[in-house]
Amino acid sequence: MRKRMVIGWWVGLLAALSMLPGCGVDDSLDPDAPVTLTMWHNFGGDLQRTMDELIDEFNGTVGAERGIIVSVEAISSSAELQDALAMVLNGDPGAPAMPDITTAYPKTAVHFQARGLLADLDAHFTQKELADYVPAFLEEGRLGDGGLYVFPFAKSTEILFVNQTLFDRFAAATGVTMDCFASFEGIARAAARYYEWTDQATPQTPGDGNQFFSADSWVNLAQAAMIQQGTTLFSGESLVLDNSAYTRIWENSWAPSVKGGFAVYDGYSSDLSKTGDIVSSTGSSAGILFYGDTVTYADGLIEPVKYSVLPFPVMVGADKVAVQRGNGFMVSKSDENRETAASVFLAWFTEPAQNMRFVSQTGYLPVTREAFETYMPRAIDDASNPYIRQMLQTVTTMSQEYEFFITPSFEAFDAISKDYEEQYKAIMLEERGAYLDGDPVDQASSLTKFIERMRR
Amino acid sequence: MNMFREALTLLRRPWTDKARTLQMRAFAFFTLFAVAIVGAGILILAMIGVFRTTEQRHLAWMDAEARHVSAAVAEDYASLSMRGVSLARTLADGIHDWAEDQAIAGSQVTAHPELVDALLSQTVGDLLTVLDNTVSSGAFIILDASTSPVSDNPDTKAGLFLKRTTTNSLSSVPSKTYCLRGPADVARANGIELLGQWRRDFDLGGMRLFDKVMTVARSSAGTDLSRLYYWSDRYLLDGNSEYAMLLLVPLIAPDGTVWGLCGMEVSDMLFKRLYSPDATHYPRVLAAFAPTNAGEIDTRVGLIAGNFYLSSQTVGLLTPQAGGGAIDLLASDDKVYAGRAEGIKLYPSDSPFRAEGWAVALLLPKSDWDRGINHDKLLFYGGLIAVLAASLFAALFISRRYIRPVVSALSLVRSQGSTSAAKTQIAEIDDLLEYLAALDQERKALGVENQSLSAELEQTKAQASRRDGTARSPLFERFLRNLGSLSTQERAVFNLYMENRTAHEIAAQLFISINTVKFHNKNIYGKLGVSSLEALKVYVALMKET
Repeated sequence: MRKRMVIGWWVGLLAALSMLPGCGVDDSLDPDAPVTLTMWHNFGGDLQRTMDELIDEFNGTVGAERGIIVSVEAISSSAELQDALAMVLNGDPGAPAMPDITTAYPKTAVHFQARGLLADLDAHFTQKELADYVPAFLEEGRLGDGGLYVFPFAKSTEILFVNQTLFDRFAAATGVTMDCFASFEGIARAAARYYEWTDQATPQTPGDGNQFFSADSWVNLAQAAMIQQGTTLFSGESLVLDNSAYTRIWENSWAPSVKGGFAVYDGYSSDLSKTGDIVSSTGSSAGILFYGDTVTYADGLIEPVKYSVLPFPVMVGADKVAVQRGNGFMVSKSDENRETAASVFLAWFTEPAQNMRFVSQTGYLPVTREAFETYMPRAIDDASNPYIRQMLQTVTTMSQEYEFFITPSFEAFDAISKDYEEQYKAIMLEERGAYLDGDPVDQASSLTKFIERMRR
Repeated sequence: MNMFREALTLLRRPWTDKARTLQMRAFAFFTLFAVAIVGAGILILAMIGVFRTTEQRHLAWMDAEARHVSAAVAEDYASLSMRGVSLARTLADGIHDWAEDQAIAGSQVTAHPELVDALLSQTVGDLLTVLDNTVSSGAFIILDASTSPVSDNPDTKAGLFLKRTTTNSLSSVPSKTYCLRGPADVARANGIELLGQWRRDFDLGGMRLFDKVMTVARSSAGTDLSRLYYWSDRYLLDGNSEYAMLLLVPLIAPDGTVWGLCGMEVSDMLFKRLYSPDATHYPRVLAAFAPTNAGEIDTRVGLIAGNFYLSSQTVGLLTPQAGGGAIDLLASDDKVYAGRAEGIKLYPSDSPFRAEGWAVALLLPKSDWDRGINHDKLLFYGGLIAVLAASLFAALFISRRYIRPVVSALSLVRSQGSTSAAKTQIAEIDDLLEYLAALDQERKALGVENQSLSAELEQTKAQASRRDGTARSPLFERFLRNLGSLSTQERAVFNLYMENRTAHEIAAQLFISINTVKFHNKNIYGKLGVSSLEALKVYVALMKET
């Protein structure tokens, strides 16, 4: 009994000492001793100001009240962030410290989750709070053990951007109609016709026709087109290319890519669009702001243009299916205090008021049911940018008519996707070069070559 | 709780109550010991300089951090200035050579819009080299040339602006170069992606600093290029997504024609990454690099680095304020900042721009500064009190532990008597218990003897009354008989006992110690056949009666 009392006194004394300022473990947020959360994100360019303003507002309001400072340390493209995160993951010499919060796709986050580097955000949100989010968006962020590791804050899908000014000129001359954009086959036929028509404009220089279409991601296009046909591009963790569905996709793209009509470009399609080098392209709905309202030709002439935003094309006779895109925030595993602070920021950032401000200025879609169902119609009416209004209308239509799929998130997915993209472009450019040189080219043998390369 | 209750009881006892001070003495001893140890520790720490005043330590940190940031800014900007001058020389040489190849006079280089793309493509390599090797977020060239086809807008200028989101010099993370302004074909030919805000040409409408630097360059014929560079205020270049300071260096042909400007940018984000001060002590500390005028620092047009920073507008125009003591106080419209400000020399003393002053300031909200100092003071004194409290607690605990066997033994003796008291495993206390037990035994034996003596005395008295005092008991007879065997000293002691003197009185009267009296007592007992002073006194009384 006496011994217990003595232990009790010691425990009491230690507890009293721990209450002295600075001596104990601080496990709660304190406005007088704010937690600084480092952050990386990929919202540069026109999107940066929106992001900066929101983070500024958080730091000045909820952050100040709760003792949280969000400090942006890097703004890079998704690809650069992915490279940086890969260095962090591999512990490469000179790798930067992992930020507390970073934007990442599930395919990147899955590597961090597998090594126990991510906070499970389920622990920081109640079921009731999570019920406010669109279930499919949350589901995409559940990795490995089913925990929530990628928190959705804005989503997008792929849509079709059409330079209406250039197309109208082409349509007026050739009779091609906007119906061509409903299917990939229609786009391929129009592309061949466009290349031919623009080539004829300079008969003294044959083979200098303009391209009609490009895709930001050929692998996303293939995945969508396969699912539209009722199958998938991936079986387990492997690509499945030797089937009729994929052959159909290849056939459709091969001729315009090699003989003219499709631009196979190592960059965003909006780059080509800005210089009038293409008429249409598929890409993220959030890419709308990158298209601008002018085309600057190689000779310096600047022409005002208008864009149309159309639903994602579908293979003829197939189902309407499009990809659900968009990264989320992953939070690095640290102490309870930092993880809580990060979750406070995520909750604030995705509240409908903030979420709608972000999406209506950046071209993304909101992630909460309330924002999606209640605020979206108002956002469409209120959008100051006509292209964002068009995009929101198109995406709303797609949400009613299309099925959406999410890309797989197994560990090798990112590497396989990257390899697919590189090999696809390499084969098409090689074939294009051979075609321009007058060498024989063949669709079937090029597919065989592509499949062999992917197997290697 | 009992321990503290006992401690309080001890403290409340009067100091004169000597019988109760053993635990108090132990407590005082241990407390003194603990305080001496803590005091010695504090003395040693004080001697090695750990205990400077809290404010001095914070000032030392502030001074060191301000010096560090200030030196880094001065060094980097000087280096960038020199690299900018070097870039301008390299580009001018390249343009000169290119013009010669094209058979164009130097003064006519910018008069050929159709050749601008070809001219700009010559400059890509040099701009990329600068981006790779300096801490800059962008490199550019702006020609004082119309574009092709000639624009109606006189503010439209041809040029090339390459940007990096992450500076190579800061990170080993591979980063891409983007084209903000310039011919798309030139960018693509060099594998450079176009930024979302890409435009072919610069629209310098409102960019008065372009004209300012061009005018100075044109009016400073013969002045070395290293005197003609200029750093802009925080500026948002046409189409750029982030504010930046621009280094502008004129491109001067050998014949003195000013072709345009080139330079580099230090963006908000880059500045923040480079010069954010150590925020360990003060999360809201920030470094500002801004123009100065009459002691005022205008951070609205400068760059800011710090944890909370995103928008420069968060600080404002800072005016010196009195009353800061050892720290500088600078006030904006709505807040007072504590910190240090130091002027930075951006231009050589013979530069046409030498009058433009800049300063680096390390700042934090005054409330944070005060809170930090008070926090440390509270921490120090709280720690001191905690150590002393712990020492007192330890002293109390140890003294209690020390005295507990004695208390327990006393309690046992009280309840069970010394003879049956258990061993305490503490030698001194066990000795004491043994001694007390022996004393108990002796007392018991003495009690029996006293009883028999009393009976004998009664018996002797009865015989005496019956036989006229002629008959004596054998013990008394032996006592009387042996009186003659006492030595002189023993007899003297005995005689004084006869006079009912106490041992102490005997010692005083005979000028001997009490121990000597006890020694004589023992001998007297042996010779007279009695076992104690009590028995002796019985026989003495009997002697007197008979």
